[in-house]
Amino acid sequence: MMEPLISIQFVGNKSSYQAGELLECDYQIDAIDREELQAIEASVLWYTEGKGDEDMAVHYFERRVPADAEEEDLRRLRRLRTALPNSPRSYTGMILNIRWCVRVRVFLPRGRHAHLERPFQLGTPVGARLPPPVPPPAWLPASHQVRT
Amino acid sequence: MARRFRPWQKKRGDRRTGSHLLGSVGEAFFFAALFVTGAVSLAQVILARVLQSQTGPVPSGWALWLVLLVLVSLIVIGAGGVIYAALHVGASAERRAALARKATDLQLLQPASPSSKDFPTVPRDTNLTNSPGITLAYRLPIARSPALELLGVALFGLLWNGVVCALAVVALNAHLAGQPDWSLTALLLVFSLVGMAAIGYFFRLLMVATGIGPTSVEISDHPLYPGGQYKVFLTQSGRLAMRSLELWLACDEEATYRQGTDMRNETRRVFLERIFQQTDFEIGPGRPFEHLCELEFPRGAMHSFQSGHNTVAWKLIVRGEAARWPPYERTFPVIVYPDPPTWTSA
Amino acid sequence: MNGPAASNPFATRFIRPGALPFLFPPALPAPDRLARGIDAGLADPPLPDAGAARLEELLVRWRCAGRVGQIVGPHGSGKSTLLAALTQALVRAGLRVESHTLRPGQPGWPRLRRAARRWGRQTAVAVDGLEQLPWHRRWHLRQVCRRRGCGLLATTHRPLGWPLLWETRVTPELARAIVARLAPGFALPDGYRLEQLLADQAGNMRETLFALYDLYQQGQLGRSVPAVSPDDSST
Repeated sequence: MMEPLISIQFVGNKSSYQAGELLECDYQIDAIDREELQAIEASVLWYTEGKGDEDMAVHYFERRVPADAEEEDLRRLRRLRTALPNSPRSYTGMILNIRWCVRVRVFLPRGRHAHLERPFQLGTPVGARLPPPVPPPAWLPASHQVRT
Repeated sequence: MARRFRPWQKKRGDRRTGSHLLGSVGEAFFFAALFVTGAVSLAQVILARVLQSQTGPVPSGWALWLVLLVLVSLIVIGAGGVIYAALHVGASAERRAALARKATDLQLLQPASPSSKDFPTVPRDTNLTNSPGITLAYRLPIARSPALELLGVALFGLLWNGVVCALAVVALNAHLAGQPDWSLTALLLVFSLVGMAAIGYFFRLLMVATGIGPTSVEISDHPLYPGGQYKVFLTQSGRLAMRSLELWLACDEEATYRQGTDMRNETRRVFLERIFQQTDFEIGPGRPFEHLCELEFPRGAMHSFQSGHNTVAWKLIVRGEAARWPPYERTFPVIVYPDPPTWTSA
Repeated sequence: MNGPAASNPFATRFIRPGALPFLFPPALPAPDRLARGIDAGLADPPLPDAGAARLEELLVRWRCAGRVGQIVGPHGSGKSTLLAALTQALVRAGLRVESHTLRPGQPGWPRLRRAARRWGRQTAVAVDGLEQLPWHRRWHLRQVCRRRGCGLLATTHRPLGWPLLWETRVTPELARAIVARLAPGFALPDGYRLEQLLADQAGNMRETLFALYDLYQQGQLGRSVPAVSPDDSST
């Protein structure tokens, strides 16, 4: 059985969005027979990545089965649209990153599934700020408190 | 004139001339005495009842229950009173009076605080904005009140020394009966040392909390936004010869990782900026240090974030160094929302 | 505008058990030398493509021991990773695997007792953190598994008298192989050596990977890298 080829393309080739902006994204499935696709789930979500356990939340979700598709062909190009929320903004920190992505998951016979995700930026890039030019006093270093 | 050691007080209108510190300490001693009296007497009654000894009249029937009720009441009242005194050591009488006087002068917040539906993962600021300030709009709550530590140490001291009292009664009775229990006596000595250390530590904390005095931070608006301009009003009370008093803006990332039997919490300070500093000045009783300063929140900074295992937390930190006192640090959490120009409603 | 930044290869999602395969040294020590640890064969670097065969050897050993075995090792030495790998191998072999993680302060026995009703000959029970159970509960657990005919695999920080399946320990060579697998081409900044980082963390590979996370992230953010001191953790 061939592996499906999932493609995700942001409209306008954008990779960065502002809060409230409309995210438009096309996805389609190739290299697989129509009958083998049992369902497709597309979601817009954020997750954390870093030195802590991962957290995740879904902002937009859609699930389609063959009956929902034109001519019952889930492989066809489909456009996903959603207005992005105010938060959380994408973030690159020292021990924590917040990432947004569009994820498409396809469900195949015998419990198999495959997925692809395409990341994007929400908000102006925000990173951990450097300490100010005035060095902090010895009693207040860049604290690194680890408790196990 | 120093008021600390005046054992009496006079009422002057709404003021009282007595020493608040001495009053708090005296109150704590009174309730502690009630507790100890109740604990020792209860131990004596129980011991007498169990051993059927003749150390004194042993009540029985309804009289026994009445005696137990009275003694337990003494214990509960005594313990509660000590805890109450500890909790209110840091409270400001001026603060309470000002709240009562200015309750009708509050300005309503404009605009209304955003809802959590509009800003997922940004913590609600309800607990930070339900306390109006005297000079500015809001008084920020402290992250960790010294009263909590006092309470913890007080509880431990009360429980521990209650057990020590009970054991002391048993050991003393044994000695008086001519059948000393040396192992119990030795154990009692060790327990007593721990109990005395707990009492000493409690009084040290009490002296620090009352001597340094409360710190309050008020802010002109809340929540905060990147690029926003705010006023911050800092008040420090006490009787202190300050070497330095500083106000800092900081941001911490916190991450929790659990794997097997290991749980790991890590905090990393990713932003730090000094807003205000003053050195070499005096703070006197009834003359708290007050200062109004400007805060420009950094543009493009990350907003507050909270999820199951990860946090981005902003805070104002007051750091003080005073002569004859250990350095202290008091933290006031703030909530930062994303840039306002790009809001949408859910 | 800039796109999203690349992931840090030492983030927890890449290093947690199951995400990272367990790396074996090239030769399993003979059973009679197993109790002395895995000193034999450590001179050679691990061969990652031999992982499946090595897992199968361990499962054979497990079956020979009556389908009971413990994986012993200090914190951050790969016990949970090996347990996850063995669990996956058991699933591929057609067994139903029940995984339980026992944590300090949490009552694990009631959960195990309730789950035991579902156990049978086709079940393997994997317990991460077996020493959280008191000795009489451990004995009880073995009795339950014996009665129900199910297999039992566990991780512990010290030997508990069960058949010893594997003793995990992290060597500098193994650490290098793990880092190479996670971040091919990653070079430590000047002044840092992986062996020193591992020694600073007392052989705890998980903490070493977290230290590498910091170094990688500081490089990504363009900061100058401060000297990492074992005493850097302070309030």
